[in-house]
Amino acid sequence: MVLLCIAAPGGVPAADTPLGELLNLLFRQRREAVQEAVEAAEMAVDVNAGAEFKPTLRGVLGSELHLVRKVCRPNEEQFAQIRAAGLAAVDAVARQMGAAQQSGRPIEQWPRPRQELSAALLAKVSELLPAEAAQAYRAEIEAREAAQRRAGQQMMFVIIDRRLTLLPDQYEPLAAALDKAWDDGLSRNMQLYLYDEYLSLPETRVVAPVLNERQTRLYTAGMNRRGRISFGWEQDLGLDGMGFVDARPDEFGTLGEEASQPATEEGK
Amino acid sequence: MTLHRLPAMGNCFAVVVLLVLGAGWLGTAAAQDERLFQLEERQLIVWAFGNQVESLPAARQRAEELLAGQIEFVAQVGSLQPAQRRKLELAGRGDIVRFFESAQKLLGELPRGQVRQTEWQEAWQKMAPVQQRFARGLHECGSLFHKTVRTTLTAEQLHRLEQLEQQRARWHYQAQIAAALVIFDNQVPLTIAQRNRLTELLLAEPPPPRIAGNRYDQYYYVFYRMSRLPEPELKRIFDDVEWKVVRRIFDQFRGLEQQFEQWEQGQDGLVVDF
Repeated sequence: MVLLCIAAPGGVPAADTPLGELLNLLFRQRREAVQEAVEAAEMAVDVNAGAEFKPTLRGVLGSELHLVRKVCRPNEEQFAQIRAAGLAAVDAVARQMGAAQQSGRPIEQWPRPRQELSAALLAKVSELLPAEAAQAYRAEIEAREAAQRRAGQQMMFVIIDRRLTLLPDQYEPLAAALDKAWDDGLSRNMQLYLYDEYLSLPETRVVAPVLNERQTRLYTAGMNRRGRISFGWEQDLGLDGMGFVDARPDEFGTLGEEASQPATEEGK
Repeated sequence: MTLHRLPAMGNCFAVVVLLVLGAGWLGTAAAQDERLFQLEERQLIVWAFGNQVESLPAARQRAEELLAGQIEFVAQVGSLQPAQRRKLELAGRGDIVRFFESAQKLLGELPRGQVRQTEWQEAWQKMAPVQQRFARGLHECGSLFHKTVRTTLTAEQLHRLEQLEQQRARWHYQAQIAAALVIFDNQVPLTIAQRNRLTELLLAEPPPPRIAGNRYDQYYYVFYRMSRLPEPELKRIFDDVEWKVVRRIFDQFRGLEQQFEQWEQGQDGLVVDF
């Protein structure tokens, strides 16, 4: 039971999970054995694990299917197959999230739902539709990722500017420095930038070449007292609409009747 | 339908509570039917000046450094004369002195040690304006420094400064738009063309004035601006299915219109943060 509680799903090497670390302590130099033990424990996670995540994931799938329909223009039969692939991915991702939750993995080690679902849809689109359709959807996914990454960087720029009062000729170099060393985890949840006093800033070495002495002093002051902030899994995974999330169920009419059942009936 | 501010406010509250608990600030001792809290100097300092500052002198030094940054920014207008600089420094220091005198007086009046829950809450409430002011910056709109800049610079310098401030505001507004569109995209999946067009339309308007409200207003303001774009233009961007969702989202911002309109009317050309 204890093993199950600290096991974890895929995405991060099993030996690096909390269970893995514990076993590493007990069985030093036996990384392969530890890896196998953790994976076995993960496989034993309850098949219903993660059922509570499915309503939200279906909402994400519903809007993603709308994008697929718009960009790739599948016929009804093709769309039904793409939707089925998406629903299967919802089950898989929900189970991974359930396992991650049970094992107490930090949120950055949880699967990224929208990316996982769009990858599953893209695979099916590639299988069923002409290459141009798949390429068009892939381009949309990549552009969205890029926009999210850029948004995080731009908000980080704002936070740093507010703290230090940058000079105009530092704007472009700082933006470039942030881009070069960017951690995509900082782009997951835009709410992070509304609580800048608790935001983890990039390491000093990333920005120092752009800053003057006064700014560097201000930047480093209190760096070790920032702590960590969490808004709950939905927000931390970037699925939050800041107050809009409660009106999600199949707004785009893409999920079909069976898949659009109210959340309360799911997983009970 | 009105804006769902409760989730956001709920988040704020939850975060505050978690952080308070996490930092180990709460000493709990049951005293009959009312809980007692441990209120220490360090906690009050953090309330007032944020978690990166650990003492009153450190907070003051931070304020001095920030003033130096503000003057450095103003100096970008070029040819700032020594006499002008001195005036700005004096005004800026005046703001610092005035703020810290008030803050110190308030800190001196607050209880320490074991306090009742109501006393703890009162202390929190009293410190809130100090915290907001320090976080917003001591030399922003309404400060002696801000007024002195306007009366000390020549017309040419002032014009140049306003250009620099607009440039800075634009960088900030671009970031707020990008972040708000990421959140919007979670509800209405945007294509490349839609994202680009929305960004273009939003940036065609001037950056927002200083926003002095809820933290979330940084993003809400962008949604508000989106909701005010001409409907025919928006309908060219969104298809019928999307438009229903978009309308629902925009409807949630109706309740904030008045507040944002007031801010826009109060715009004074200096756009910073809050």
